[in-house]
Amino acid sequence: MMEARHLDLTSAEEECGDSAMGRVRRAYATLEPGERLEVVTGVAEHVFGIRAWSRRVGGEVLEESTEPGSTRLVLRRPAPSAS
Amino acid sequence: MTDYAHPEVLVSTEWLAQHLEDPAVRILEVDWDPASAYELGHLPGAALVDWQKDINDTVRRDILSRDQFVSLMERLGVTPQTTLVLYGDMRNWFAAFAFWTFRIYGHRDIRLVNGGRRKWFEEDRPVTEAVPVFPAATYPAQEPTAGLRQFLPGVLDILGRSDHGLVDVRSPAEFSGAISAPPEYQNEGARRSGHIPGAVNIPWAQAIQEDDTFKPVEQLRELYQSRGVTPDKTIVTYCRIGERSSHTWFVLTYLLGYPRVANYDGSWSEWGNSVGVPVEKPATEAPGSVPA
Repeated sequence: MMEARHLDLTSAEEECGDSAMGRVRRAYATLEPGERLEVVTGVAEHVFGIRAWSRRVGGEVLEESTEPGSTRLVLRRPAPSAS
Repeated sequence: MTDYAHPEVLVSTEWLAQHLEDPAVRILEVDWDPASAYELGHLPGAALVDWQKDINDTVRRDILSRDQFVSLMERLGVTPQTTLVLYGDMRNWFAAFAFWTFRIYGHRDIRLVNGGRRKWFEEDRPVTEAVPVFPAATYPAQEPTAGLRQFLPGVLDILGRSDHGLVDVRSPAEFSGAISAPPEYQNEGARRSGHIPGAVNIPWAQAIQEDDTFKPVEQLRELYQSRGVTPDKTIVTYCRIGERSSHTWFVLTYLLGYPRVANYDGSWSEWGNSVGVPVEKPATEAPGSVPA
């Protein structure tokens, strides 16, 4: 299995840059079908947003684990279904 | 919150939780990117204000007109007596911008949620995807409030004046001229980078704590006064497009009670693109030098 790409949102948010969800969306958009994206965040608003957004775009949340101050989610871009 | 100069403009998430169904209150989520925030989930009863479409003129570069403001209030079922409670994405930047804009057009009772979306979600409070519909209201135009907005000629006039202060609330990288805008905001870039001469750099985030609530008043006072941003001066805040500087405008005006604070919403995306205006840049290359 291909190694998941990694996006760390726990570092101080940019004071001038894109939103956390914007960064997730841009990273997800580069995934090939079947490829995974591991996102780490310490913000509950991000966790909610990633789950809800993933549902909307038909993505899969494969794993979710929480440690004090940090949540790790693994998303997968699904392969297109055979017609 | 009671030590702030005007604590009435700030509400806690706890207060808001108790007023979700208060008919005198209209809760507005002000988002720069509703698809990444409001549309995924918002506070029960909160209506969306789309910063790009609702708070700005979508053709020329300006805030919404007075007529557009009246239409927006009427569409949201707001009367001049309604208590507006604002919060939003991007850590309340755009909610603060809406606060500033609505105040310009004279709405009296506006409040900002201390900690905003982030604190609400952190506290695991209720969230919904349901979009409320309100009966349209009649909103007579109010008398605009003067002195809250600054334009480029006005900023040029105050350069070098000791009775005025300029606060650049951008990141140190933007202030120093290392960048003019991050790559994902190409349309906010400028031909020149650096800062307005005489400005002090106090990034907006220095006014908030880990949970996005505002710092206590004594810490805020120390933060600004230690950098020469004192209440005896007329203060002008700016950033790149005027939203982060609205946040600092809010802090100086309402939490510290400075009497004369204006937001220069043209900010760096105007100044850095203007011909002939002075720019301070620590590591300026010699004119005509060729980049390596």
